[in-house]
Amino acid sequence: MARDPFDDALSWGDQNDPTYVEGEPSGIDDDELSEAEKSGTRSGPGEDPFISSTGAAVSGVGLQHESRKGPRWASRAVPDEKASAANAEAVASARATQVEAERDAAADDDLAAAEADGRQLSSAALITFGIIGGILLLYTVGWLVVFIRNPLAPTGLAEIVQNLQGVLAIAAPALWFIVTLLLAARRRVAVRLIWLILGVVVLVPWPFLTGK
Amino acid sequence: MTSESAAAPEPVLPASAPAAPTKRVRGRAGWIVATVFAFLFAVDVFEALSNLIGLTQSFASVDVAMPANALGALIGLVAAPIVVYALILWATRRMRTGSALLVFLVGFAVAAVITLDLQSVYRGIVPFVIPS
Repeated sequence: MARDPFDDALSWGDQNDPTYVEGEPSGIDDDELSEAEKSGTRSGPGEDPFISSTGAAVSGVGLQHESRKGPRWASRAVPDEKASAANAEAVASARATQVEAERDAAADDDLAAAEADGRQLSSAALITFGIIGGILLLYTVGWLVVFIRNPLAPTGLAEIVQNLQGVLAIAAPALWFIVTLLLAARRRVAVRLIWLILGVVVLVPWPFLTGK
Repeated sequence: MTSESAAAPEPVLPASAPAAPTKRVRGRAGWIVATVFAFLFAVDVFEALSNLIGLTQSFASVDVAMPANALGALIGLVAAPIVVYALILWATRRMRTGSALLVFLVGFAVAAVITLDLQSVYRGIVPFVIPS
């Protein structure tokens, strides 16, 4: 040692200073320390109070550094292990943050969907849905009249197919209305209205209107 | 900031980091539903084709040219189920099986409506039946 440890105590060097001596842990009293020194036992797990308090005076700084960093043969591997450990911690924390953000976004979406579900339709939208439902109900009546008015002449597969087509045509307006409101329940009112209006255009009972 | 923390390496996310949510695809049950409705739509197409061929031959047998719009209505009868099925198959590609089943059912009903409409149009153009 080139310098007296008492001079070290008066110096303001930090951890980068090779003569730096780490102070006593805050949780250890002087009384406990002195008792431990007398009895020769350690005050804490894995910590030698003799070294931690006066290690620089007795065994020198080298011993303290060796006890911290491990054996000399592993001195090159330690920084890499530290870096990988730090990287793993950073990755873990980044993942945790990402997962948390995804959970928050999903919760926000659920909340928005629940609010959208719970929100009542405006009066105008309700009236419009009612009018379109009424039109589609009239369409159902129209297709029913067409089905009754045109008795089936063919037999075999053609009869089955035409019967099926007649029944489906009667059910089509109601099916369109219900399925639109079911599948587009979470969409905007405008989207539902567009689909319903498309149904009004497509499902016109043309044979009923022309009488043929 | 200490020199140790300043020298800390940047976190490198591995390649197996959480990826974007995958899109839903049609499952086995969805394909079964699509296949069953394909047969039903095919029956419609078969009926329309038999109408097209039979009525064309009837007009040819009496040496009368079929009106173009009547021929268009007959061709529309063939094309309508195919177009409706194709549209539904595309529209239900990301739907659950139950929803897809409902849409196929509505689509089949719409195909029936279009078929009856076009038959009515044809009867409006050709208001007689050619005896065979």
